[in-house]
Amino acid sequence: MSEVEQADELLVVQAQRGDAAAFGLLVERHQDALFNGIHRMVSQREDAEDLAQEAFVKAFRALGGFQGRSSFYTWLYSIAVNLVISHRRKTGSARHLNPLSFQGGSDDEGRGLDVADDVERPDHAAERREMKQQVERAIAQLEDEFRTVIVMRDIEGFDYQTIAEVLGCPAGTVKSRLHRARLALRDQMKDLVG
Amino acid sequence: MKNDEMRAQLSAYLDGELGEAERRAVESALAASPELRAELEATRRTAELVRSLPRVSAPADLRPRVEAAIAGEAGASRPWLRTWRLVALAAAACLLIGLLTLLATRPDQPRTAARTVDALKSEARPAEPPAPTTAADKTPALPANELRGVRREKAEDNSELAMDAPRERPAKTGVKHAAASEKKIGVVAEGESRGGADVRQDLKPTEAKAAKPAAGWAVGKAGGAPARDADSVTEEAEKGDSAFYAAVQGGEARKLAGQTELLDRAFGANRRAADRAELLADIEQERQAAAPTFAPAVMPPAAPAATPAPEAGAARPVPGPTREVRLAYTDLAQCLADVRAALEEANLAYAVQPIGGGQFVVETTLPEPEAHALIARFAGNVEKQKEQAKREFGYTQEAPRAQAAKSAPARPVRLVLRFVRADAQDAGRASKAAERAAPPAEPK
Repeated sequence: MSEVEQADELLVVQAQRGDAAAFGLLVERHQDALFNGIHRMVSQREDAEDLAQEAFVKAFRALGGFQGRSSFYTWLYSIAVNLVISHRRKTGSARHLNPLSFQGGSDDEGRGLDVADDVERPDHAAERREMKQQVERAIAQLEDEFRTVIVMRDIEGFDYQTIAEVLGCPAGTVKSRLHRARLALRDQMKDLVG
Repeated sequence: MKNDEMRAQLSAYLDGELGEAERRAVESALAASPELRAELEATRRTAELVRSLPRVSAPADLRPRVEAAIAGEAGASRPWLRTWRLVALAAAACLLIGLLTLLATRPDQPRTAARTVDALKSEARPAEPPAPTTAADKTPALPANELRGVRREKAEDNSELAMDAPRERPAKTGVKHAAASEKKIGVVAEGESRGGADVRQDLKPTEAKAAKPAAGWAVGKAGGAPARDADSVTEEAEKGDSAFYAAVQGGEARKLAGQTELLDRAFGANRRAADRAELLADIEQERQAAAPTFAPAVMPPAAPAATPAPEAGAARPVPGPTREVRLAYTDLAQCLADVRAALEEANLAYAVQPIGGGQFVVETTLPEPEAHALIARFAGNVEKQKEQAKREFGYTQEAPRAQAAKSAPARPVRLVLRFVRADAQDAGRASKAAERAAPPAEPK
């Protein structure tokens, strides 16, 4: 178990005892990763914010049943994925492309870009920005189930078995779905992929 | 394997998700096919583009929003926590009784931790008995409603006369108990919340189930004193294995210290110092709170004495009057089931103690009118008991509680029901009758 997971475990134990502050720390530790994952699956930022909040609240409610069979983040993420799937059923497919939802605001731009590049090689920065938007558009245009596995594998880094458990499908399905998702993405990003 | 099939494996190969045999097959195919290698490269590039996307940060107000939503639900929508707190409290009490009894029966052990013993001594006197004996408590009946939802732990006993641990009322605010389990020491504390959250450590469900009832339950003779009183149990606990407490206490302190250290490492310098300091302060506070908690919250082995509030300075509550009734049964299993059903229905704390020869004793404490009702129910002379209760208390069996509430509070009594086998009772009566009829033996 990594140190991060060990620290999570301690905070979970504290939170299970009723320590709300410990749960607050868990939120802080995982909110960025969780929000990022949700936002990549749900294009609208406002929806992603609401879903992230709801995922944490649901996790808090269900904390008594968390037995540590998986890492806390994996368990939290599975709650989030189910919320995203429900959200999609209610609102229809999330393939209404809105690349602008990823633009603007320092949150979206700051981490991926090197400030020095902006100053020294502005054309390089612009090129990277364009590439980023193209990738985001391509992901947003994927079918929901393809987008989910792409996000879980290439953004969240879950292994196939974990993805299968979270989605409630066989690992073979994950393998084939991911393969087809990447083919579809390649089609959308031909000029980038080559 | 054909190229199409190979292509389908490329993603998994890239992700390291293929088995050994499949991986070798793909590598052989890659070595033989430039198209396949180009395909692999395109798949790799696609995955890298996705991975290169910058992380989107959560909105700054996400944590406050979550905390606000949780604060609105805290304590109300976590029934698992509320229920298990009750279970844990009851289990902790039962476990402590068993532990103290076990220690008391062991040979004297040298005191190896004076500080722990001193802590025991300083809190040797129970803050208050489990029965409702505080001055503020005007309710004569046992607060059995507080035990609603608490599961009784049954002794692992194949005997039909399973000994049930008494259900004890958890102590009031300010009294701290310690419960030992195989895995950890549970600190059950009540008190004001810290930082908006109470610190309680619940025994997990599996640990709650492992709690054993008290052993060596004393049989109270009719009108007699219990075999061991609270003082002697305390003294024996003090003489007991205090090293155990010290080790456990030390272990708990070490565990908390380890938690602090680990959190220190995990959090690092990037975390907000206030959050880190707050959590460390909480842990330290809990560690300090855990220190003097091994006070044996002594539960007298006799049935809880529901007596009027003790006078100031009184060491122990005075037990109430005892009513002993002898009843006969023909079907043991049915009798036990009936007794338990009646007592459970009345929400009473009780204890069943086998005393050999097919006899068993059931003890409970309850208001006198209800005692009459119970006796009537078991003895089958409902009408007679009703009349007597009506004469004495002016109440009818149908509404004992309502009547009791209207009139002056009926005094609680310790009810001892002694059940014997009907055939043994008949034989005993016949034997006594024969003894009375026989001439006295001449002295030699």
